[in-house]
Amino acid sequence: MNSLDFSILVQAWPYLWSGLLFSLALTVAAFVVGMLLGTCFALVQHFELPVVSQIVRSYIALIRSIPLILVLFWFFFLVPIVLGHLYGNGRPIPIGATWTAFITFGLFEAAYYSEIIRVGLRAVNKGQFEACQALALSTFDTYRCVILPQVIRVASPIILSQTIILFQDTSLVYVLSLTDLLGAASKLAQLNGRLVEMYLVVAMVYLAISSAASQCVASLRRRYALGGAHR
Amino acid sequence: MRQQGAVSPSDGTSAIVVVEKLMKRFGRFTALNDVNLTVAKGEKIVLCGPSGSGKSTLIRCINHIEKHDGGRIVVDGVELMDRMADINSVRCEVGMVFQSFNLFPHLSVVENCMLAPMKVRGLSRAEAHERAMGLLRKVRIDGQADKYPAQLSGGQQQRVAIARALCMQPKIMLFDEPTSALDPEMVKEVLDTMVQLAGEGMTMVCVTHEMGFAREVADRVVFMDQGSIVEEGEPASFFRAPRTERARGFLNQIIH
Amino acid sequence: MFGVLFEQTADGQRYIDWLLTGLGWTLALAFFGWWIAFAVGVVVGIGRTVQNRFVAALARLYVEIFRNIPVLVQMFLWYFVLPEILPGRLGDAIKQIPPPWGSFFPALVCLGLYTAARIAEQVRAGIEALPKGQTEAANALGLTPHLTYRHVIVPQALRLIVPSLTSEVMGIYKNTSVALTIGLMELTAQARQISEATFQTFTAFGAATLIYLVLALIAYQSMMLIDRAVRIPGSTPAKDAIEPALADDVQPGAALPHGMEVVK
Repeated sequence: MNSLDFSILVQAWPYLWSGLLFSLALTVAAFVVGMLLGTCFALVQHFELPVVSQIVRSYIALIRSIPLILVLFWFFFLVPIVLGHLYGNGRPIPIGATWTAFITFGLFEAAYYSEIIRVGLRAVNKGQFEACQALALSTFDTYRCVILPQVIRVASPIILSQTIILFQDTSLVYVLSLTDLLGAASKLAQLNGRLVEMYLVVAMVYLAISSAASQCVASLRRRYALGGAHR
Repeated sequence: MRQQGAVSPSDGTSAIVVVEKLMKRFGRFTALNDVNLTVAKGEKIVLCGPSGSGKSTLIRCINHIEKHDGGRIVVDGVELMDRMADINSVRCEVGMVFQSFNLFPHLSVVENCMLAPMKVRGLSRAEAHERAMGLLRKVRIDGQADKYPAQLSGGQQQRVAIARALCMQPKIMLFDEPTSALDPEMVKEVLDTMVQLAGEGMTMVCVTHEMGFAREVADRVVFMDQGSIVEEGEPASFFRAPRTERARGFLNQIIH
Repeated sequence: MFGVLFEQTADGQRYIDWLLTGLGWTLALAFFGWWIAFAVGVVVGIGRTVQNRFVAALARLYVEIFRNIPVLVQMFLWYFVLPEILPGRLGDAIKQIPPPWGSFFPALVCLGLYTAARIAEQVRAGIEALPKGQTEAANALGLTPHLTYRHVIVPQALRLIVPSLTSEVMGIYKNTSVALTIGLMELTAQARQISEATFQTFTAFGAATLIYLVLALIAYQSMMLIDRAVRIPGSTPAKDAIEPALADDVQPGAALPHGMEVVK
């Protein structure tokens, strides 16, 4: 075994850094899209809208049952075809791996966030709805001003835990040969042959970010537990 | 055997529990302050007092469920210190009944009674079963032996808990507000069981607000307030003419 | 539409045989990985709750490391890095393991230990959710800490977390697909291979998706069966606890069968 040589990191760092930025950008984008879409999905189910809620429910069950890698392959293949039908003459419009990753992660995470919000919606005290009715709030205002803020608050530790998992899952864009943190490390490793150092460093970076984030979530949860926000 | 740590009880050989200068703190709160108590073999003691007076803490210390911070506790000749062997041998001799029953929900009634005799006393399954059934019969609940705790009423669960403690053949039984978590109509069946046990000569220390039970059974009533023993005496005189103002106030409150 | 699956491949098999081989690897990985994960997870989870500070810290360290590094990165660590940092002979011996097994074993260890960290957290949450009176009652009966865990705490905690373990079962079989990155030809890899060989992408991925769906259904149903089988008579079923979304981190109280608490 060769002795470890971390000095190559100095040269490698800018490239790894740009990879990390990509990972973070993907995480943030998937979080925003996933939360917006996921909330819609959850509300559709909550109101039991005919047909739409069945479709949404099947979509969520399907997405949650198959591996993310397979979902990535599916979207890489399907999205150009769908776009072709929507905007073209039926011929697939290639969009490239980066767009695929952003679209896939947004739609994929929506399924997971929507489950969290759906459960949160069910946990809201019935009295809250009754109080809103008594105050003659419109349905829209009831949800926007009273119900959803409570749901988000109660579910926020779980939402954040899911987001940490999301951040780790973004490493799977490796299968699309994208240059996220892991992708950058793997490409460098092939060039300079220092794969031990590269992968160890990547592992440490993920570990540091994820466990720091976990600590924040844990302290958030403790604060809520003390404040008695729930129950 | 029980030689090491042995002390001669302060009043004759019949003392089974000796508590001397007991101190217990929870953080900055002093739960027990200089408590002295001797329980003779066969004696029935009722501990009473307002909530937070330290009576539950006292009997939890006797079983070392709470560690004490100062003073001494000697149970059946063994001083309770940190040695696990001592603690466990004491716990075998001391049965405890909790306010909230604390039956093991995943075990049936009879299994609840058999677990400790088999694992701690080393009884065979058959012996443990026989003993358990005998004691369940005694608390009149042998018909439910194969049910699970969640299928029983509170009063039935508490009687199972008493049987479970008795299965270890303890020399002394501690009761920590055994009827406080029960619906009123179930209090009597549990008290009846305790009266019966007392009649058989069991040494008992009971934390309870059931003054009728205290009158009928207790040899001595010990009144505690703010972590100290304020007054003790025979039930008749204690209830008729408490000597301290605090005990008088307390009795007035619980009678009305 | 699935007709292409029954066509002959270049190596004289049918495409469906490729899929079935892939399924075999997926199942083997998920099944054996699960038992590793369960065994290690229970031990580590218990370790997190014991009095001994050193053991508790060690268990916590395990969970932090294995939960906070992406499973794909862990896969690379086991496959690429481990043989390099082991002393020469041993590392070489590992590199010599012939093809499918050379990928299978690192993947197995990786998935087992990764999932174990998640199970450990469930076990810990289950143990901490038990009423304190259970330990006290066991102590009062003279049970040693060891006996208390063995007969009182762990049996109850495991029953409590069966619903949330469902999501870990689903998790491990889905994560088997990550093994394709180190060259194991499991289900997803086979589907991609078929798609590349036949250009029938829809069919290839569709078939794999169907198989994953069926697996998910089987996993879900069997966990429900197990839950029913070990449920304590007299306790009410834990409907909310089945929620896989919340099961990612069991919140004491929220996800518990109410019948579990003897008191009130």
